[in-house]
Amino acid sequence: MATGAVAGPAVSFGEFVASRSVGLQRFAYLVTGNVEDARDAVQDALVGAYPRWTQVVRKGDPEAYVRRSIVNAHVSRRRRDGRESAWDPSWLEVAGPDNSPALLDAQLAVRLVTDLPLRQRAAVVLRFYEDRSYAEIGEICGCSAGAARVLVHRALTALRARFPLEDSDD
Amino acid sequence: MTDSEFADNLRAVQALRTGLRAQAERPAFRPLDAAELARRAVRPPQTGRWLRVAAAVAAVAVAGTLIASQLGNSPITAVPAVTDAPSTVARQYGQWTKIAASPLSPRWEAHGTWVAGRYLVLGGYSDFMCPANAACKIHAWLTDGALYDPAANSWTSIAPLPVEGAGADSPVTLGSSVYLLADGSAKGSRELLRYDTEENAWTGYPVPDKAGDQLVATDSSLVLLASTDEFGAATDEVFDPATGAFAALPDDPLGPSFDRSAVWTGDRLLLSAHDLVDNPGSEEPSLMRLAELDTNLTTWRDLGTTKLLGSAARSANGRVVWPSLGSADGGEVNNWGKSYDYGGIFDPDTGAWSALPTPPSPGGLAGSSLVAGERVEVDGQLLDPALLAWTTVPELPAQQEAGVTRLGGPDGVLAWGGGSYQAPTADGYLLWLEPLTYPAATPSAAAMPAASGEPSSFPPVPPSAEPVLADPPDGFRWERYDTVDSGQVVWLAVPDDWGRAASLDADYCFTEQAPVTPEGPYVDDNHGTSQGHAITCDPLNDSQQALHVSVVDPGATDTRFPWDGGTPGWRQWSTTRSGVTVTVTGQDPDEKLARQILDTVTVVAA
Repeated sequence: MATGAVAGPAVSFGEFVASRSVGLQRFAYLVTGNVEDARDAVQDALVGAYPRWTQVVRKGDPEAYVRRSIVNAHVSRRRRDGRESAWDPSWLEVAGPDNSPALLDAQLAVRLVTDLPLRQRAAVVLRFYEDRSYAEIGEICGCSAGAARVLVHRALTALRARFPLEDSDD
Repeated sequence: MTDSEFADNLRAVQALRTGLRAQAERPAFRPLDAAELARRAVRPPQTGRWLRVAAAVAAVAVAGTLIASQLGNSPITAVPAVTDAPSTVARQYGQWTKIAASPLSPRWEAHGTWVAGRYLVLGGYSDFMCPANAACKIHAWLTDGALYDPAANSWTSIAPLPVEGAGADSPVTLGSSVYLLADGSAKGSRELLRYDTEENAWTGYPVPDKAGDQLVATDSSLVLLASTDEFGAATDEVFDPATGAFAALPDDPLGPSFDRSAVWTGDRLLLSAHDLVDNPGSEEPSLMRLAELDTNLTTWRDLGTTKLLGSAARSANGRVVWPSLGSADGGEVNNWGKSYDYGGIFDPDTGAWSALPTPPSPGGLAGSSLVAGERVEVDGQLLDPALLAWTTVPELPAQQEAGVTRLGGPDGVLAWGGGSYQAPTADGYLLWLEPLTYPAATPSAAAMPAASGEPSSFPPVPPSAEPVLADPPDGFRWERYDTVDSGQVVWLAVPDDWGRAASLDADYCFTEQAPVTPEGPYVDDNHGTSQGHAITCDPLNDSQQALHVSVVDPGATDTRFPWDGGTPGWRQWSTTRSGVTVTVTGQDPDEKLARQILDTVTVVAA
């Protein structure tokens, strides 16, 4: 998926917020698990970035900086207050007997991601929702590209194990 | 990879892509307001829910003020409203006094510290606010600074920072020098910058690659502490200013951990951290652990797990303070079964803990995290953590609504710069802090408290001071408890060789940690309070116990003791004074000693 990231030395804080804040909230929603936490995380990240905006832009990828702040802020907050945030799974319940195998797989995938540890969840979101490279995932999650690959690989392995046996040869 | 595995992988990838996109499209998000975010950037960062929590805390604090005033037991240094001030800085307590004009240009968010009898103000931003969707030019961090001498009410400019972008973190004072870490982006590696006030010169020292990024000054060195082991084992280094050399600190005993922070207490380094486990705080609280490094920075001692969720610590007046108010219970999902406080007060000499008292009201230093002499900022007010005495701080002048620099000195606080959201100022204000009354250094000839009832001859207790006690009986010493809610101090005398400890974790039935049979008689810190420090499951057999004394506050919600009191040969003797119940648990031959202890119990208002 194209992220539509705005980068480069000319981007102003206002331009960045106007063009990217919705996308960042969607990313944060997948990482944090609920709308309010997502909005808080993005606001916190942008408030933190604003005083350093010149340096953030100068380093070339303000979006990666903000996303890293979102992930770190959420991990820290979860550790501090222990608040569990589960996605609203209402759309999963809509599925009926005539749903396609692909939709059933997607339901399984979402349930799996909900159960993942925080950084692994962020890595999976960055890989499969945002099509980020492992190097970018490592940069955002604060780990090496190899470690990011391991995080994603473990999630894939776990998901494969959840597929019903009769479908395993599809 | 087999064809089947490849197919399954492809299927998993497609499922993740489809599922995540569908999930992400569920809520409707709106663009955020850049101007509002910019405004918040010059305030302490508070998101919507944090603001609501702050409002709730403020309401509680107001209620606390009323309660405290009714009880007449809250030692507060009264402070009148903000006043504008004359050109000189007389020691007028309780108001912000305008100081001499600064040589620095107006700016927001400068940093600083107290050094060599002066306040150092350094860096900051002068072109900060940016309307939404505007292509603003945002200036880099300023490099100039100046020292303000409160005694002379005068400023002196200092040599500018040698590195652009340095000083974005708060500087640390060691001796007559100031230290800060400089971002390494310009030179390829980080530098420890030292400003020598005597030479008016900066010196840079290359920092070892793996050294931490938190600076903690000891009496003669500087510790560079790592914040986390998440990316491999952290390396803590110590810098010797005399030689300019770095050396690795010994490994701490806490194991892999995160949110590591440390304070120097005057004779040891106290480290706090949280266990690095999968999903900390998810199933059970991620409680703060403590360890201390001796004065030579050579030997660690594990102090165990606290009952606090923790925050960054401050050290003042012989106590270590985690100043965050409030608590958490884990939320609705995977609730922890009880609430845990974020903050508290620790006495590193005795190992005793106190709860953070409720501030009289939110004060003018909120978010500053400063330490001023013997006082530490809590919710904008200043607290002496040993005396539990508040100094209320008036709100800052109205024109300093954002980005103001607030620095603590030994007997005052400087508020400089900041300004409105439209324009910064270079105005500065000083708040002198009235000295607090400390306990008498020598015991008086006052009589020992009577054996029962309130001692009528007991001397009146001055505000903010410990009672003047007589010498304890030969072979005894005084021990002090602070009740949690009632503002009382409990004194009792116990034999000199008794320990003081929380030998029994009162929450053993939650944590599944079996209590350890104490090695000898002790004063129990797990006293019952209104916050439920008493037992939460069946009492234990007394035979697992040692002779000890326990205290239960007047407002305790659970007055049971952890020991059943019914074991043959074991007994409990109690006395109640001013609503406080003191109990000695021991065996039959201990009765005489138990009664001697209970006879000394004295309860006074703090």
